[in-house]
Parts: sequence; structure tokens; C-alpha cells
Amino acid sequence: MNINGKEKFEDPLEKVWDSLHDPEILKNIIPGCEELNYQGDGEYEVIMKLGVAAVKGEYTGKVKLDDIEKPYHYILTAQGSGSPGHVDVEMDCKLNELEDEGCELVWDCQADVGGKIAGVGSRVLGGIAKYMAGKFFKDMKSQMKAKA
Amino acid sequence: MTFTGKNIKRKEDYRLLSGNSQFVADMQEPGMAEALFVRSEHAHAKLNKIDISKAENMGGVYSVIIAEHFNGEVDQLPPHSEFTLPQNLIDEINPIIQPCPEDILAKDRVIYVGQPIAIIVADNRYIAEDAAELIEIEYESLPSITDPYKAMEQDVDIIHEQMSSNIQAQFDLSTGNYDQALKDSDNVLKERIKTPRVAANPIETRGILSTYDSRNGKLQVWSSTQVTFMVRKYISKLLGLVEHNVRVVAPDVGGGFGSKCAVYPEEIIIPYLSMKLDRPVRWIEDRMEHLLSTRQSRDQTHDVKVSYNNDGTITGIQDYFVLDNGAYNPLVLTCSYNTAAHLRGVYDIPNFVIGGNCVVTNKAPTIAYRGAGRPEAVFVMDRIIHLVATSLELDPVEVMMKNMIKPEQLPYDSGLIYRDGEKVIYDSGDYPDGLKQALELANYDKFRKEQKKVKSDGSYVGIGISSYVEGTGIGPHEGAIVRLDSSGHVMAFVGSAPHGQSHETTLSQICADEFGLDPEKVTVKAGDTDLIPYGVGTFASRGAVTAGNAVHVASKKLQEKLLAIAGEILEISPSDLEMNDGKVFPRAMQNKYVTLEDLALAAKPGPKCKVPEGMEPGVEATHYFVPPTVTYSSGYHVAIVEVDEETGFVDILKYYVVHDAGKVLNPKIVDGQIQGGVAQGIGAALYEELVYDDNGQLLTGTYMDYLIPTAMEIPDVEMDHQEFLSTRNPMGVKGVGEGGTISPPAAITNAVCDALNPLDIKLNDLPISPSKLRQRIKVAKTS
Repeated sequence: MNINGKEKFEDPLEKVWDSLHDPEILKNIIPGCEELNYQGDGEYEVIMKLGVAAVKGEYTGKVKLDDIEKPYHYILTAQGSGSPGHVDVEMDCKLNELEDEGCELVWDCQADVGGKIAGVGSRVLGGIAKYMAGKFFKDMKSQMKAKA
Repeated sequence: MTFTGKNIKRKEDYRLLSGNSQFVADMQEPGMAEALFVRSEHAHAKLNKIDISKAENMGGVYSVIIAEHFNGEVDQLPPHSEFTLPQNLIDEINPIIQPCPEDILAKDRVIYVGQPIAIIVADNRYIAEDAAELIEIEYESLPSITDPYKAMEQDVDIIHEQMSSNIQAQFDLSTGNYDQALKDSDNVLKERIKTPRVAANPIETRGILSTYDSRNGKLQVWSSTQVTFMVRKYISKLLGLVEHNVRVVAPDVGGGFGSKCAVYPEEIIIPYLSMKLDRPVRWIEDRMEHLLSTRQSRDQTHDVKVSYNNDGTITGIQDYFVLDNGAYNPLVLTCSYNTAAHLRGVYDIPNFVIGGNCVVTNKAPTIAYRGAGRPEAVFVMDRIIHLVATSLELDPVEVMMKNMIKPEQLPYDSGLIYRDGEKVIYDSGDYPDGLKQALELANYDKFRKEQKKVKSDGSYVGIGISSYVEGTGIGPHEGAIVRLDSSGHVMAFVGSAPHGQSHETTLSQICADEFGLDPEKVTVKAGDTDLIPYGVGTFASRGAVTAGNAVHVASKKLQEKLLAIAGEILEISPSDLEMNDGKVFPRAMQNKYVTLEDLALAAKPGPKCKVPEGMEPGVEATHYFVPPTVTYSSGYHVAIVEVDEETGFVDILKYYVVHDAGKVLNPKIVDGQIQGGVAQGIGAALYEELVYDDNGQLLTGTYMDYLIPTAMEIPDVEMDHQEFLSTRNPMGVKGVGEGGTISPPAAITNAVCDALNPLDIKLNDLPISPSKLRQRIKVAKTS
């Protein structure tokens, strides 16, 4: 499944970059995130509780940020598995400065799901993923405001 | 009075309709534990680590088993030797078949989503489900192959290490001279025609209960299966048990349709666990598990080339097709060869080339499903008829009639060999007349006249036809033991295993006729390996033909013996005796009679025995009916549909079937088989498709996404019958179990195309979902 989108920020690019790499912020904005522990080398261990359609449950997994070109381009990879199945995500994130002010995050995400979550939830998965992405950015903005 | 041919009420119905039936899920044994399978979430992955320690230590869990615990005690499940081809057919088609045995539990690698990895046995299902959550499996995902054409490429990974390619089985055959026909013909048509992967979805999922009597070393297994004797054989073989000590019973079974016509890993491991744990163990498959891991079917893609003349004569067909078998191919060439042998159906097309590839991919394995290769063949053939007719601007009926085998051509040798090694020779029937009968039933001419007006008013109504010939009642045998008990009641024991076919009713009708008894005085027992030494099973429209004739002949034999005993008692020649209503009497003196009870008593060994010299005491006769080859049923389906151009919805307005099942044993049961078959055929035509993503994940894992028709979507089929007796068995019966399912996809697709004509709609794939049809209409309108 491929989903993608764009998100505009009023804050300067560097600040957005830092926020996207800040474990404290990430922990609060990743949907269903119960625990997020930095393991070093851009890698986190994560425990998430999520419900997709009728398939609810806990996933444990790893999230890794590969900074290709700081502060403009990074790739987030995530693998998680749990009783509802497994998720494999690769998300390409590009930050562009905007002419007037602020910046824009252009993201492109390839997600593969397996197990029950695919068999039962695939029909609604795209919609849920979009909803979660929207919530992620909304929460991120409010977190950034709170921190400022 | 005879009972065959009459609408005797189904004996099975009282218990089924009053909640007194007994399916495996209804059964309880003292101390019974429940099993649960942990199945692969990945289509292809290494199993790096399976941690069962937490699950094992959970309260209420008796055992958690993974492959390494077998310690060589359980062998791999081989492809079923029952479905291998006879040598003369092998010599004819030179098949390539690569060994492809199946691990009972995945060892270090999984190759499809749903493959069993571990099994938990616990006090109850709730505990087992909770324990399953505690099993940690570390998968290392590997690339999966879901496209059979990709699987056949040279440089691709081979799924089974012991195979040299992913083409597990392959064959070619031809008759006539296709190349010459192609040169000599006016036109040629090339198409790709597909039938998707579907699931049979019996109302009862699979279920197994096993108990082990360690004192006597006896294993008793109840399984929701169509093939009790095969299950027994493989349990005995793979677990190293004396076959006599294994009893397999199919209690009431809620449908099978082919999906239970194979031995499953679960049927080996549940008995193994009941022995190992020395307690009854039961497993009931849940519905999601069923869609994921019960064998699926169809999934064929045909590339056809058809040569034909301007008058509608089809001169030749070349067809290369691929069957996507998924991870294993337990029935080997059964379905694919059926497709080849049935493709031309009722048509006399002398030049024919067909080649089939059975390809292994990372999906659930496939086996037979009602029709077993024939719905696929008929969809191809009848699309060809429709496309040829359309290209020549002829009515499809004209093309059908032009190419149909005429009654005077019977017996008709099609030039092929059937799966049983005998020549495909159609022996009885009248195909053009069957079609005529169907067209009259459907008021075809009248419809055609009215259609013009209705269409000019803006409604898209159409009519579509399909026909088939089906080899039914395949051997190698089925047997019956008929016995008179001391109370004068007749018992008939058969080796087949019914799952909705009404054996108890129709076989008692057959038996009753021989004794002049009411069928109520005959009890039929089936689906139990302890009843009779040899049995095959219920599949391939074979019950009435094989078990039916076995009962017929065994009853005759016993009737003769009873007359002989009566002759001794009455001191009169048996040829002067008659049997009716439980009594035997001299034809000339009907009040001087002996009853069946008297005869049962007189047959007991001992000084009072009245069995004539040279005969064994006892009142029992056995007959194994070995058919010379299959019987050829045929059918003609006509669908009238209306298409909503805006939404792409197809409404079936009328559905007609004319069917030849040879001698009809019980008209209501025959009609019921056809009506039910048509329902599944409509499902295949309009609703059903198992969809996998590129990673081999099943996306249609529930009935929200895998649509099956309900009573709301199924019209009352209007039916008529032909009754051309088969020449291949004493009763002249032909099979009817699958017929209804074979033609609806072709009839409905042709009707949809007819409704939309003159729009050139490409519909060579199923199902005709509203979104697909709407899209095709759009494309046709803009081109």
C-alpha cells in the first residue's frame, strides 16, 4: 500500500527537522505509542497499541531514522509485529523551505501489512493510515507550540 | 411398487432440521482438550526462532507442539496417490510431475500465509487462543511469488528446494491437426480467459476429534471429510499405525464441495496429539482460518487460439493454460486434466491442442471445488462460442447448433483419454435436443423478439447460454454390504461419505426396490471406515453412480439368496417365489409366506439353518461396483439478466436448466442438487474472488470482502430433464452433484455481453463485479 502527502509548517525548517527527531515529541504524537526508547544510531524500540477495523492489539517493533541529507531528507523505516499481524513501513521524508516562511514536508510511504490486519483490515487501511498521518502532524504542531 | 424415480422425503431432514444432527463441533468426549493452530503470517519467510516457553507454561495448556517435536514420528504428507494417473494416460500425455510433499507443521521456512507452524492443546479454546498470543515467532521475510507467470520465469527463486522449477506438473495433448485447421480456416480468434481463485465455503468448516484407546491401541477419529478411507490410510501410514486400528468416521457433515476431498495436515496431527497426550483432542476450524488455509480452487488462465469459418464452424482450438496451485498440489493433475478432457464439451471440434502448467506459488494450496476443472473449461469454451458468434454477427444458438455433436454421432469418440485411462466416448444423450429443450423452456425466440423493444426503451437485458458434458461417477470402485438383521430390517453399508447428498434416502430407495420393501424399512449407513473393507469417498458426482449401483447389485444378490432360503423352507423352487412387503410367497399361493424375520432366523448357522447347500450361512451380500469408465451427464443453462449501466449491477431475471442425469433416482433431490449448484455458480460469476496482494497476503479474509451469494441473490431455477440412461452401469444413472455449478459463469457472462451488445465489452475474467463492469462499459463507450 502506498500513501503520500504534504504538510506545511509555519516553523523554520531546522525546527521541524529537530522535532521530527525528538523522542519526547515523537512519543506523544505517534498514534497509539506506549513506549519509545532510543537505542542509539537513529534507532528506537517502540510499543504501540492500535486498532484497525476489528483488529485491535499491541505491536512491538523498531523504528529507524536514516538521515540522508540533514536537514532536508531522511528515511524512516519501521517494523512491528504483534497478535494482529505485522507492519513494514518505509517512509521517504523531504523537507523543503517555502518562499514566504516555514517549510513543507513531502512524504511518501510504502506500507506492507500482513496477517489478520491484512485479511480483515486491508479495505479500510488506507483511510485509517491517512487519518493517522493527519493526526500525527496536527499533534506535532501543537507539541511544537507547547515546547516553544 | 418401485421407489426409485419418486419423490421420497429425505430421511436426513428430520434430524438436520430439528437440531438433532451431530457435527464434529457438537461432539464431546470426557476429558476432551481443544486444539488451536498458530499459522504463518508471512507468505514466504525463514523461521529464525519460535519461542513457545510462555505459552507452554500457561495454566490450562497441555502441550505446544512445533515441527521439531515430532522427532521423526510423523512423516510428510505426500500428494495423494489416489489421484495419480493410469499408465496408459501417462504414456499418452507425457506429464512432468515433480515431488512436492507437505510438512505437517512448517519447519524452518513458511511458504504461504495460513500454513500451520505450531499447535496448542489446552483445556478449552479460550485458553488456547490466549496461549497463542504468547508464542513469539521471529520471521525473516523473504520475497514471495504470487504471480504464476512470474513463478515460471527462468531466474526466479524456486519455492520447493527439491524441485527444478516452480512448474510442479505439466502435460500436453492433442488430437487432429490444429495447424492445418488454422491454415484452412477463414478466421482466427485469440483471447486470454481467466477464472479466479475461489473458495468452496461449506457451511460447516473443517473439524476433527480424535480419541485413543491405549488399552487396545485403537484410534477413533471423527472428521468433517468427504474421504474417510483416504484419511484413515494416511493416518495409518504417517503415524505408523495398523490400519485396522484406525477408524475414521464422518458424522453429519455440512458440505464439502471438494474442499474436504483431501487429507489435511490437521487430520494427521490431531490424532497424533490424542495418542501422545492420551486424551481426546478436538480442533474446530474457525471461519477466518477456513478462508486462509482450507484448500482453495480454480485459478486458471487460458491463452486460446480458435480457428473458425464464416459459417460459424469452429475448426480448431489451441489452448495453453496455467493453474496457480499455490504452495502445494495434493491432487496433482486432477483439476487441470479435467479441464483439458472437458473443454470441448458438447462440441465436435476435431482439431485440438491443449497444454497445462500447474505452478507453485506462495499462496494457499488448491484442490478441487464442485466441478473440479470443468467450470473453468466451460467458461473458456462458451466464451469462445459467444465471441465467434459476435464476430460473425450470428446468434450464439446458430454457432452452438452448427458445432454440436449430433445424436447420430453417438457413441462419440473425442480422441482423448479420460483421467481413469479409458477413452472419452460419449455414450448416451441428445445434445441439440437438450439445447432446444432449454431454449423452449426459456422462450428464447419470444425473448429475442421482445429484447429489441426493451433495449430500444433503454434497458439492457440479455440472454446467455452455456452447455457442458461432464464425466461423472469415476471409479475405481465403491462397495456396499447389504444385510438383513434379525428383526427383518435391511441394512446397507457403503464406503462413500455423504455430506449433504442424501445417501440415506436415495440408497434406501434403490435397496427397497429390490426387496419390495418400503424405504423406511431400509437403513443406510455411510461415512465410517468400519462399515466395509474398501471405500473411496463422495466427490466428482460419483455417489449415485458408484455407491448406488453397488447397493443395487448387492441388494439383488441378497434378494436371490433370500429367495433360495425361502425355497428351502417352503420347499418350492426359488424361481416360483416372489418377494414383497417383507414377505416371500409362491406366486401362485400368496397366503403361504415366510417373513424376512423368518428368513433371518433360518440363515443363522446351526442345526436349524435352512441355507441351501453350497451357500454360506448368514443373510448378507457384498458388491463392489467397478465402473467401466465414467458416465457422461450433460446440461444446458440459460440466463436472462438485466444490467444497470450506471452502477454495473447485474440482476438475474430468469435462470433455466435442462439436465441429463440418466435415470433420476429422486427428482426432488436431483433438482435440489442443481439449484444449489447454480447458487455456487452464480457466486463464481458475480461475487467471489480470493484476492492476494503482491506479498502473498490474503486481502479477502472475511465475508465482508469475500462475497458469497445469499438466498436473496439466487433466483428459483426453472428446470427440465432429459433422461438418457447411461450404458455404463446397471441402473443407467449419471452423476448430478456438480452439474449446476459448471455453467452459470459462462451463461451469465454471455448474457451480460448480450445485454450490452452492441457495446464491445471485454469480459473474459470473473467475477463480474459492479465496479469492473462499470469500468468496462466506460472503456467500451469511449473507444
